[in-house]
Amino acid sequence: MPTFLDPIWSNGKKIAVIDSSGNAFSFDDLSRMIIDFSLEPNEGTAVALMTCSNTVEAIAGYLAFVKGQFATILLPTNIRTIDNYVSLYTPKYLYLDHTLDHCNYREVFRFGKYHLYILRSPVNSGCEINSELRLLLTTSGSTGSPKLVRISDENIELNCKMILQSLRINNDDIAITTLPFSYSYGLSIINTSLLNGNKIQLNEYSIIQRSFWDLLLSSRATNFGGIPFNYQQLEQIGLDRLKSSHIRFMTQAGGRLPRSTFENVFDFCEHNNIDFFVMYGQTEATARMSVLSPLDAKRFPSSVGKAISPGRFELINPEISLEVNGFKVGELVFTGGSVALGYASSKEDLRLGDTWKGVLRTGDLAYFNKEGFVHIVGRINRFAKIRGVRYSLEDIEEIFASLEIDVVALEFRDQIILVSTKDVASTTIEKALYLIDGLRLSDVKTIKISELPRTPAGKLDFRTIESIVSSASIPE
Amino acid sequence: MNLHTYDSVFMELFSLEPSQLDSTLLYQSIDTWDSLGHMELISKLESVFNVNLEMDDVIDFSSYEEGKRILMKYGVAL
Repeated sequence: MPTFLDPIWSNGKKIAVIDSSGNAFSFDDLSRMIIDFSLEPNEGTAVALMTCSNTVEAIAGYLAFVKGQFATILLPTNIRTIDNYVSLYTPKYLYLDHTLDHCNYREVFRFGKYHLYILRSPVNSGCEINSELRLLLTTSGSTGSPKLVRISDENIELNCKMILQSLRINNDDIAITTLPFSYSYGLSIINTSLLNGNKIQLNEYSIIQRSFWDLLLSSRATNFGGIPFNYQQLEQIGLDRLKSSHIRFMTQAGGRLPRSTFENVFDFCEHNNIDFFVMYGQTEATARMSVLSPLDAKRFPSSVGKAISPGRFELINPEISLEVNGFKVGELVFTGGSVALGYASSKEDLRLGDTWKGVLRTGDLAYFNKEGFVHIVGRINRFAKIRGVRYSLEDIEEIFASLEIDVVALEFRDQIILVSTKDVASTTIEKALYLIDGLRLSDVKTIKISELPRTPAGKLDFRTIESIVSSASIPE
Repeated sequence: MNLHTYDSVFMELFSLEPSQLDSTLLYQSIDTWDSLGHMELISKLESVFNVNLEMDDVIDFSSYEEGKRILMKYGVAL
């Protein structure tokens, strides 16, 4: 079975990655590193799980698992709910940036900060894994439910081609990492670079650290990607810092930029010969689905652009009789070969074939303007997006319910608002947040109301609750 | 007095014990001191000491100890 990464090995002595200390590793070097993992042959029955830092150790592990044809689960390094994934998917290998004390696993290899563990007892067979399945990514900020998106070799290959063509990435472009590759957007930057034979400057620093700027200059990096939070930070510490760099283009995805930040970044880029691409994507479509070129952004700054060819968008559900600026709103549906196979919620689900068949209902409400540019106006599903990470509001409500307090959760101005008829103690919020990776106390605000409004049918009346939230002065 | 204030900002913001305030306390050495926590830290320190840090100092503020040196430049004796 070929994997999507097979073509990269012909790059041989070309530099693939540079670590943050400046050590360069060629594709051949990475290929040799993989041999040291001595992974047992895998007959399409095995899962591997790893945590993803922007280090050469992590990249080597990722390449080893893909080359070994494992269905590989990619998780963030700071994840607290890792046990849920281990017990549900019983990976044959775990490759972690920390030690693990688990009676079913023994350590077989160590590489820098990373430890490779193997399952002691053989994996119970009888659970074949679909041979097309290559990667398993989390759908959103984990709220404890280990639901994963099933991504095939073909999905990644197509998505990378789409991105490479739409951004016109050159052979001498160098990406500097700003996002973890457990996140589909960060992963797509790594994959497109590898497949195009480009250099990647591995970076673990954040934009607000001096070391990031030192690396950006010394690596002569030409591009990076960022979620809105990154661009807000960039704006805060001063876009002028980019002037002495070799940055040729930047991409932005993972949610909408505040208008003023967009204008600042866009103007700066326009005056400094940097192409700024706004993109829109979902893990369920492997990564990015649309792009807005700088030229089009000038005319339609609030658009997320057009579908990247050969993908395409359409609207469904005209029963949502909503109009914005005179344009009919519907649910945005994406069709294309990069749409993932489907979700997995159990090991048995890894046997499934292509459930979605190239069609993704995004859950986003959108309209097309006259020229066909997509504008996103809201969401159908109850999700909050905080710093580029999606959180299911229903999952959050369930977690609070398990702590014996009923709340209605919604998103307002980049925060999660908990509406309740009771006082929600901050200790309760802390307990709940311990179960939700990535959310912080300052992301959550509470509002107490005397009674939760309901519709005549007795269902919670979300529209009324939303209007209460938007009119309430939210305590700091 | 100032040192006490400096320490209490760290302890409150990052939920730390006094024993954790030493030269091993670095940006990203604890979960809570990430890029978001960093900006919260800077704005807290700016308001309690009534100073306004240059962005160069914000990005150089890489540790508990380094922060003391930076604040001294602004006339905050620690």
